[in-house]
Amino acid sequence: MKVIFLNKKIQFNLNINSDQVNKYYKAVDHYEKNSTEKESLPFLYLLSISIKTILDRFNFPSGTIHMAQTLSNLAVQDITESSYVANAEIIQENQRTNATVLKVAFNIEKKGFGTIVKGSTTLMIPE
Amino acid sequence: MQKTIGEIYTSNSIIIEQTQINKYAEASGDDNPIHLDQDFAQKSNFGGIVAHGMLVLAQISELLTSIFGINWINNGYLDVRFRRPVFVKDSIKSIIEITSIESINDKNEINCKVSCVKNNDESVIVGTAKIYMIYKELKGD
Repeated sequence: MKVIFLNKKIQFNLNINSDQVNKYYKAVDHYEKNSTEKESLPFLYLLSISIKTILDRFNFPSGTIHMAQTLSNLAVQDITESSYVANAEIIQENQRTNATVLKVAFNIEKKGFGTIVKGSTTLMIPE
Repeated sequence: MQKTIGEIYTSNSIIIEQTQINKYAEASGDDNPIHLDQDFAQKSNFGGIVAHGMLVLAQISELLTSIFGINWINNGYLDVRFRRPVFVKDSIKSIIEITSIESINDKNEINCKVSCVKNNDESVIVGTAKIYMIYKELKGD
């Protein structure tokens, strides 16, 4: 079995900018939100920019397919200019006939606060 | 609002437009040509531009937010599979069904079946969600 990525780890910073978060809300919003929800940082936004960074840092090709996702939201955060630290590790690698399937575990921490989001992303890289 | 087993919530249907995909690409930084470049996408296995899976998943999360509010945002768990691509002009809607409510310590764990389907009822995302709510919030007291 060809093992290329298993156990590789990366750490990266996520710098949150309220303008970018507002752009995200405009791209995905379908419902009226109350004030608390409008002021909270969407965890799917954190996840989206984390996945983008994971794809870039591991040099996965543009044909990589997002197959599955788990996610735990552990603590709501306000939309403020703030920094988070993300850790990602490839915990499974399976070779299929025409593809490699990878499971990437990740967590996102706020300095001095602890983990706010954790989960796993399953990706398929076609050959 | 009181929650009961078997309740089903359905979002409005939305049509995925290229403009929304473009906005999402700009916000997320995911500028993969499979989402943005018609020529590239036509030559891919998909045969056309597909929406970001996370953009489609956001519709499920938005529906969970509308049902469970801050409880979903503050203490929710999601486990989903992306089963089929969503193409430009596809109409999609999300469906949440409460499958069980269990008391665990000082909280109630609400388990849900979640899905996003096209207007021909093909599932594009399927999975489960858990939301933890304190008893008072669950009963609406």
